[in-house]
Order: sequence, then structure tokens, then C-alpha cells
Amino acid sequence: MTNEKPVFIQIIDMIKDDILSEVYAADDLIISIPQISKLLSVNPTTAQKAISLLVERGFLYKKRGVGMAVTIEAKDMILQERQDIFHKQIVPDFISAAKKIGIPNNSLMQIIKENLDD
Amino acid sequence: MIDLKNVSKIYSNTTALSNFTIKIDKPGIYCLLGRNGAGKTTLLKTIAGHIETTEGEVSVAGKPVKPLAMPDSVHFVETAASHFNLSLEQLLKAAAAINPAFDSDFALEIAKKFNLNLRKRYRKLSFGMKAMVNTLIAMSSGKDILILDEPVLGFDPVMRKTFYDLLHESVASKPKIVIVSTHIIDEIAKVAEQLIIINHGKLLLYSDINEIDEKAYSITGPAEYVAAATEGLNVLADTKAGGFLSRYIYDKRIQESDKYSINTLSLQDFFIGLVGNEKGGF
Repeated sequence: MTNEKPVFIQIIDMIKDDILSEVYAADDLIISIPQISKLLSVNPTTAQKAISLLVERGFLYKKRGVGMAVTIEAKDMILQERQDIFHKQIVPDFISAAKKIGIPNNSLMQIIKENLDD
Repeated sequence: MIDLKNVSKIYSNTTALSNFTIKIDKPGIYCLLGRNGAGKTTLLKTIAGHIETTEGEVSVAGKPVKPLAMPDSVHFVETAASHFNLSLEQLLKAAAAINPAFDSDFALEIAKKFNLNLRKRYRKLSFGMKAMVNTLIAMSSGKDILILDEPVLGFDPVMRKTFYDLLHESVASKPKIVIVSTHIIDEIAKVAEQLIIINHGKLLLYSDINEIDEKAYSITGPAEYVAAATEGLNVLADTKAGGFLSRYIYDKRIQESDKYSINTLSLQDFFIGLVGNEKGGF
């Protein structure tokens, strides 16, 4: 755990990462709350809070008697969310970082192109 | 379960508790924090009925509490509790004889986990081991309310870890209210569900421990940016160095920016920010 974000947000992000990279497919059971709390050494109530929020927002659902599973829509929802972050946050940050160190706008395109070719 | 209304306790000329009101209903682990002399032990002894209050009403499980009417449902463990100088085996037998709800199997299981020698007499045990025996008897008591006043004092780090695991296990297997006072804050933060902070005999904060994770953070950066970004927010403390300002906040999160950095506060930092500078408060 880092200390930039609240712990429950970090847990949410980790589970979303795992859904996005298909560690968990739709209907797969995810790691249990006691396991999260042990693995990350966090308070079980914090893990509980993260899972509840994921359920509330439709990324997970309760499979009766066995645990929490990934919803069918989860992956697309996360993909959409991450694309929004890319457009609204990562791209503007990238441009302002380039500006800060004196890289002119017209060489930005060149830099991206070179990296894509690699 | 536990209900304190406007409770005050005055020892000759010291006010240990001042107009203290709190209601504790939900089972779970409650962490009681406060500086030395803040009134933690007085509060715990009041709930257990070990001392008479100067003013106010205390009730546990619907019944008024007084030294002559100590609540049956509470098991209180003091820091330096004393026991008869019996072996642990005999102590456990005595505990089971006095208290029909005493869970001897659980007690023996814990004793094994902590490598406690059942045949050694109480007085021959080290300070930490004595504390362990006291906690062991409390956890096996089968009571609905456990009050542990600085239970981990004298424990080595490995014992503390085992203690917290046991505490969690014990509450999970049989829901109960456990109130733990301690100064080792970041360790209890990993198991406690509710937080009670007492300062100068007054209740300063009573909240879900997850609130701290969400709302307690620091902002560090050039003083003018930090001051502008935190305007109107609840500021706990400031630290200045050169033109830089580090501000402890307990409020909603602000937008991230490249002008300053945001960090969550550990419970310990939050606590220091809250009671370390005497102007802090809500």
C-alpha cells in the first residue's frame, strides 16, 4: 500500500486492474475479504468497504454461499472508465509535463510516433 | 449496550472525565486512544463499575452501573492486574469454576499458541507473559463486553501480532464489544472497527475507522498554493519549513494537482495532528 490514496481506493483499483487484465473473467470468484486483509495487511473493514462499493457500482455481485463474483458488464465499464481517465487526465498531464521541460508541441507527435514503432 | 450520559469524574482537584456522553451498541473492536492522563483508564473503569462517577449516568445492558452493581456482562483487564499465585492450569480451572460461561477449550488453545507453560506459577512469569495470561482469561470469559486497558504493553512484536489475530478471531467467532486502549496505534488500526479519541477527559472523536482512511490526509507544497487549496477545510495542524507548508486535513478530499502533493495520514499521524497541538479539535 502506498500513501497517496486512501487504502479502500487502492484495493478497488487493484481488483479493477485484475478484471481488466482478465485475471478474473465474468462470473469468476474474486479473492475473499479475509484474504485481501491478510495479503495486503489492511483492516478487514477497509477491505469490506472496497468490496461493498464494487458491488454497489455493479462490478461485482454476491454469489450465494460462495463469495463475490465479477459481473458480465464489469470489464467494459472499467475499460470505459480507464479510457476517460486517459483522455481527461493522462494526456493533459503528458502535454504539460513536456511543456515544463521545454519540448515543443511539434516534436511531441514525433516522439509518440518513434515510441509506437519500437 | 454501553450508555454514558454526561458523565464526569473529579478526583480531588483533577477532572478525569468531563461531561462525557457515548453510546456503544454494535459488536466489534473499539480502539480507545488518548494521551497519558487523558482519562482512558477512568473511562474504562467507569464502564466496568470499578469507580463511582461524580456526575452523570452509566448503564450497561440496560442496567445502571455502580461499584455496588458491577455489570455481569463486562470483563475488565487492567494493565497491572494481579492474580493468585497459582499455576496457569489452576488459574484456568478457577476461572471456569467461577464463571460458567468460561470457555476452557479456547483458553487452552490460546495458551498453546503462545507457548505458555501451564505449570508455571503466575508470579514466576515475565511481565509480558503475565499480561498474556490476563488477556487469555478475558478472551475466554464468554462475556459480551471485554475491556482491555493497554493489553499489549510488555508484549514483543510477535506476541502483539498473534494477539491482534486472536482478538479478531475471538470477535468473529462470537460477536462482542471489545474496547482496547493502546499507544501502539498503527497496529490496532489494522483490526479495530471503531475509533474513540479522548482528550482532557472529553470525547474528541467517535467514528468508523474507515473515515480516517477516507478523510485524513496531508497536503505539502509551496505555502501559497497549499493555503489556497485548503481554504474552508478542517485543518488539524500545520508544519512550515522555508516557503513550504504541510497541512493536516480532516475533511473531504481535494483535487490532485502538480502544485502540491497529497498523502493519506496513518492513524498515528492523524492522532498526533489532532491532540499533539493543543489548538486542534472539531
